[in-house]
Amino acid sequence: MKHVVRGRDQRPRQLLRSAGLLATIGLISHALPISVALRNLVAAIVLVWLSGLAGLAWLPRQRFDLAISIVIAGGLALNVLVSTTLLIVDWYTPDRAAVSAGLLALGILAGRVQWKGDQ
Amino acid sequence: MTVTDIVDVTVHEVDEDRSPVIASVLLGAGLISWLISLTTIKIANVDGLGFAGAFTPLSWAALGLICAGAVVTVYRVPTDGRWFWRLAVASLLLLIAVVHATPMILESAPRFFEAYNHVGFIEYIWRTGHHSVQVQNRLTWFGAFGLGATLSGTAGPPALLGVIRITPWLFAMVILLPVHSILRAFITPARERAAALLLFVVGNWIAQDYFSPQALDYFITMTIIAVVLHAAQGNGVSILRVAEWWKARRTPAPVVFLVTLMMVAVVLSHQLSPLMLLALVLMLALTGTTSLRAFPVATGAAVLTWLSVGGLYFWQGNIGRLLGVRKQGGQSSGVSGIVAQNLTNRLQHAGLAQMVAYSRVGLSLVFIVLAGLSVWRGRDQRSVRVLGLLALIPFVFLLTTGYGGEALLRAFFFALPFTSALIALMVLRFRPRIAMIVLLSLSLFGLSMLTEVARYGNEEFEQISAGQLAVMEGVYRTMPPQARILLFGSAMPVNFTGLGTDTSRFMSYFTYPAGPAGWDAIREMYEQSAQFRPQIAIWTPEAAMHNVHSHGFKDGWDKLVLTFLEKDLHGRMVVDRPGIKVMSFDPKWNPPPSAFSGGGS
Repeated sequence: MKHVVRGRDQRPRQLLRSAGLLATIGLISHALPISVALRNLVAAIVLVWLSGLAGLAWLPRQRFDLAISIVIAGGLALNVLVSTTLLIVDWYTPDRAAVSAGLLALGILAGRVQWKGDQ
Repeated sequence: MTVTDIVDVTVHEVDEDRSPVIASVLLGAGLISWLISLTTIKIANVDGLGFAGAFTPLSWAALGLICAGAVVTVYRVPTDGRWFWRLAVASLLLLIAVVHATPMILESAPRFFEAYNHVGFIEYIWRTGHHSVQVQNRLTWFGAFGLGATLSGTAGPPALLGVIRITPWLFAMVILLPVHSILRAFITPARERAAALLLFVVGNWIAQDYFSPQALDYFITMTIIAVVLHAAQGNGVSILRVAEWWKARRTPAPVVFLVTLMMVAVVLSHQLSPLMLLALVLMLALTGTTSLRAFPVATGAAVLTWLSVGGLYFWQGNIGRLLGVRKQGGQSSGVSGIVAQNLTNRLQHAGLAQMVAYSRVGLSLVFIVLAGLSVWRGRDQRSVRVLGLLALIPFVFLLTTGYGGEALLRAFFFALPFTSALIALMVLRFRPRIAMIVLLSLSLFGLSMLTEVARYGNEEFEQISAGQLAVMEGVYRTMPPQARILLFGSAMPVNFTGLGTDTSRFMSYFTYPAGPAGWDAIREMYEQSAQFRPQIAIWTPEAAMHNVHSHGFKDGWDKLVLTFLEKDLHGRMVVDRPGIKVMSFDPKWNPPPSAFSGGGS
């Protein structure tokens, strides 16, 4: 029981670490001499996964099928919202949207870690 | 217990140990046969039955072996061992490969013209940073296209033509995750869940999983339903006991945060999908399957808000159509109109096209009738009743809208996880006798064959060749600024780049007072073509055929118009191939033949 409780408390922190790693991979891939299509693919996967982790951090441990679904659907949804908002306020470029979504996801994750720590 | 039962149970016990081996052999043989058959399928043999017409006996044998392997897995492989889910997942992936990946691998260019339009919307947003509804009114729901621009263009121009190709195949695999999660909330036994997933794969003939906002929304919607079912479970008290039902409400903040985020994304991305989401979550709330009470209200409010503000341009002047009170522009309205456009009109074809239409209706009816039968048999179980209501509610909701086109198909697609679950519950009641396994293998094989026909039966006008794509790329690369392009129909790869830098006019959407097959339709085509003063005209056989199949044009209409453009409007053939013709009316537009190189079609 102690292990389970500890595991739950640690989870947002673990997810934040994963998110940091993903963000690093995303940044490094931009500097690699690879094709634009491949670079876009890496960026897209990193961005969706990173954003999705922010959603997953809010729920207790889920089984594999639901956890992966949340990561994908949550990641896509967060990027829809960020892109839409920037388009509405007429400040949209793909780079701004990607950076905003990435920072927002990291912010949500860090906030969750802080909140868990305070409890 | 009869003697037959004793023999059967004994055979069952002995066979169970060998069943993983038998299933593995069947699936392995299916995989090898399929791989070999890929080298024998000729794309030129695609006919009115679509890819089914081009399948060789070896392809069908591969499908049959995989179906048999899947049925043996579901019925005989022990669920407490390590093999069950491995073999079940292998069966699902192989079934998806044969049904959905075969066209993807063999076609020379990605299929389905609508997906090219979506690439164009994404490229437009990426290039301009805007979502102008003046350019295209479908950009009213620009959420998914904005997402596409962000994900595909953060490191350079979007490169999405390859993504079109793999989307249906990828979708068919990943959608199984939330669907399985939903099934887990209703069904405990692994066999029933695996069977339901197989039926879901086989029942997905709707073709709404191409590169589109509705595919994205379907995935997010199913994930929302799964989250609600697992993280905000209700106590099962329905609204019939209203005081108790209201008292049981519970609103866990993390769940509400997550599902609201996803719900808003659905609302911003597509017109019809949010209504289906609303229907499903409302049913979950009313039956007490979830403890959330206000979420359906919030979903409805979000839909109305976006429709009122963001969708203003879309519905202004068309409010009657949205509410289903009158007909306009070929889109149906009201219940009879929707059913006519979706069902009866689609059956009025001849030859192979009619066979395709009947296979679609037949496959859907099989699913609906079997699901209904399952509800009747299991009506004393609460989970079965709820599954029945979830399968029914998308159809009820579609009747409240004036959305014609593919509404009935989409309702079927949203009901599919639940109809599949119901059928699986009923079918798994059969004792796993050898004869029954053979019979069910043949049934699954039959359904898979029907799916191949139903799903890819429109290949004759949904297919796009590499030659056509190369020519269209050449046109967009060399056309004069703000060119006026006359298109024989929408079933061709257009507007996938440079949206807004030209004016495209489709003959499908000309005004025909007596209908596109009316007595003066050809004269209207001549007049409206001349009035448009095209600089470029583009014809493909698929576009002409699509107008006959989907817009009610007469056979042979395009030949008359081609002659008129060439003789009376002095059009000059720039590209003249059996698969595509490009005519120039602008003396200054003289692209060299090399501009359209990339293969003949």
